[in-house]
Amino acid sequence: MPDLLSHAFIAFTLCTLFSLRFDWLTGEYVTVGMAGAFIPDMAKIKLLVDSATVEAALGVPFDWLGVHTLGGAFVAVLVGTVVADRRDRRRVFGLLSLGAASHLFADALLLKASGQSYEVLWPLTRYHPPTPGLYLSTDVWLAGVTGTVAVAVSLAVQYRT
Amino acid sequence: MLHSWVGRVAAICGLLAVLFALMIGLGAPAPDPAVGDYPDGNALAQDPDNHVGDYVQVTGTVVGTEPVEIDLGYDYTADGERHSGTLTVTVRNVDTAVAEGQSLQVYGTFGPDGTITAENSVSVPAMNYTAMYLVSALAGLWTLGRLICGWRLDLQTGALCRRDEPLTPIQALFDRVREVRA
Repeated sequence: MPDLLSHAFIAFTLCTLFSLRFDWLTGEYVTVGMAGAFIPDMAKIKLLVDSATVEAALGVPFDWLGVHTLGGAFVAVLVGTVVADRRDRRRVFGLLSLGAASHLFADALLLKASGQSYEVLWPLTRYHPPTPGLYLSTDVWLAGVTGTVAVAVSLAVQYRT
Repeated sequence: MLHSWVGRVAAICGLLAVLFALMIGLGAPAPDPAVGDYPDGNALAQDPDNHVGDYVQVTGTVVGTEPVEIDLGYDYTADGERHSGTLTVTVRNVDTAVAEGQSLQVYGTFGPDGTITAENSVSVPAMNYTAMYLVSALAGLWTLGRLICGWRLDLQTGALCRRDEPLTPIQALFDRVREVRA
């Protein structure tokens, strides 16, 4: 997806829904899930320093997109887990994972000319799973749709009887 | 362990090293159509002859419409030397309407004359990057604001702790102003 706002909305919605099941999942924890949704897009650092620049500087192959995969996101989630206070580590790990996974999954549905997405499960496999191609990376309406759902879910959970 | 500044910093350094290794690992392999990893603009610029007859997937800016021509930006390092520039390729059989300046993603076969015969193509309108970055920045501020209101850094241990009583956004802003003025 193009914009992080859609990803933040999706993570917010998921965490808010999970709060129905888990009483401890308060607003502060919802924030952790949203932070998790930012993890894969740390690869956007390439806009400042692109992969080829790093390759040239180090003399080894390099791709920032490593963090936009299962393995890379998992390691980044562990970084967040280590930072968290020991009492909250399990919850933080779970919520960061949920946020990051929702991001990777949403991006695996992007439209590609070849009909195949990206190496989302790397380093387990380099396989690019087929994508249904539900949206383009430039579809602005996505933020509107995911935002509306997020607001609706939030209100429904808040005022449920 | 992992409950002090030293433990945390050491663990984070170790984890970042692993993350770095994963990024190097992802950059290493050559394209492999069998797993859906098709040669891209970099591969075609680096060694076009090697990819004749292959399925490729490239994304470029439309610079001509009769016939369709796209500019592929490439940037790769080979034998310690960096090569970057643009490669203009002609695309046949484009079944969608395209306009100059649009971004076009093409999946098709690479011919010996350096053209691509498209099997499928996806056109993307020239994008408003500024608006996109603004919207993304909004998401960042929203999440950061919530993080500051709900969590605090324990300076003794370097841990991010949940606040027993979350701040309201107004309170957080007020505290911040007071800190800056003090």
